[in-house]
Amino acid sequence: MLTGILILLCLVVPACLAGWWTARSDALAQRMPLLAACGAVGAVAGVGALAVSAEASDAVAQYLTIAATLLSACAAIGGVLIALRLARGEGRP
Amino acid sequence: MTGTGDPLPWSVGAAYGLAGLLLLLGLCTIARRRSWGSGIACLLAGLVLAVGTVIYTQSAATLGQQLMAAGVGGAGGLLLWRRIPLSAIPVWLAAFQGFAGLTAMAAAIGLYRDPSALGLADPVAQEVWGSARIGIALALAFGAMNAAGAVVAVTDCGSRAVPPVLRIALPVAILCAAIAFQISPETPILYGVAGLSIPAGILITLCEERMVRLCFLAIASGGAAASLGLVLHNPAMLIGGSAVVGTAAALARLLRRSAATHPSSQQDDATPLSNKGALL
Repeated sequence: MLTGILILLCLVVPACLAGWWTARSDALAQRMPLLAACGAVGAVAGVGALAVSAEASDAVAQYLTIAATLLSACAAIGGVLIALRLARGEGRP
Repeated sequence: MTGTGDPLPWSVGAAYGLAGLLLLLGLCTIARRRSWGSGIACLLAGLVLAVGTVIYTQSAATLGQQLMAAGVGGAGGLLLWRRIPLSAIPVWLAAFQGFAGLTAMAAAIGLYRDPSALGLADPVAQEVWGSARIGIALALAFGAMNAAGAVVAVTDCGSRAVPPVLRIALPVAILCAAIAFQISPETPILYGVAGLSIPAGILITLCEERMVRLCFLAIASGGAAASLGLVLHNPAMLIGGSAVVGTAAALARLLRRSAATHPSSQQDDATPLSNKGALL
């Protein structure tokens, strides 16, 4: 319980506030690239899938997490590259 | 990777912490037009460090399968990036967010089915540790909401009015079900959490404009990653997921406010991306 509260206070809340501060400005230049980058960072859940697939002895759990690894790699690479494409100015008149 | 019963060695924890900070720094830097290059470099470094650390710490038995899956997925992402026309980018961003949601769902179900693999099970009762249950339920809920919402965003339905009661009642019911799973870790309760999350994801997404939908999906994928990070005691997932939640929530607020100030920008749904300079 205490560990959970400490984790929330020391990691989750500061990271949330830092993210909020990043995107708070009205004059934010890069909304779409930032959204694409958010998609790529969200795919960090694949790290958890990798960890489970390595150690699981249950066959269903292993196949599920291997498939999840594939999807998260696709989302991470696709998200980063789309962010790159948008940040370079493609689509801007 | 070690679980709740076995704390991370300090070097592994430091590597994950550094990966999380790189992800956070990448998001903060990419928002500025002049420094987007270093932001993307930071993001990539964070992702590579997190994946490298998990591969370094695990047994090598399934390494081949994992590398093959990551390689095929990465090649798919690369192929899609080269072929996606500009006008289809929002749809593909929604699809990628949905992939992240499915990933979180699969990891949560995998953890529930085999909790002893990562030291998350009570050796006597063979049940998931109490502290990990709520994290598994929340990861499954956020993942299911994300995947269901992504289907709405990809099919590009116009926004519809949804009764506010439903938009409040469903998340409250999900939270209650997650708490019930924390108290009594029964399989039907966990699948009940997923079953409630699917309509919640559809309804919450359905009543928003296209760009705000993408923000909602990002919030859900960040929440799922952070919940999994809480279960696995993984700082990279905790910091990265929480940063995505904060960023996407601020972006959603900004987009809603600018839509209220300039109603013409609500025509986003019909306008190709190449004509939407204000959004870029």
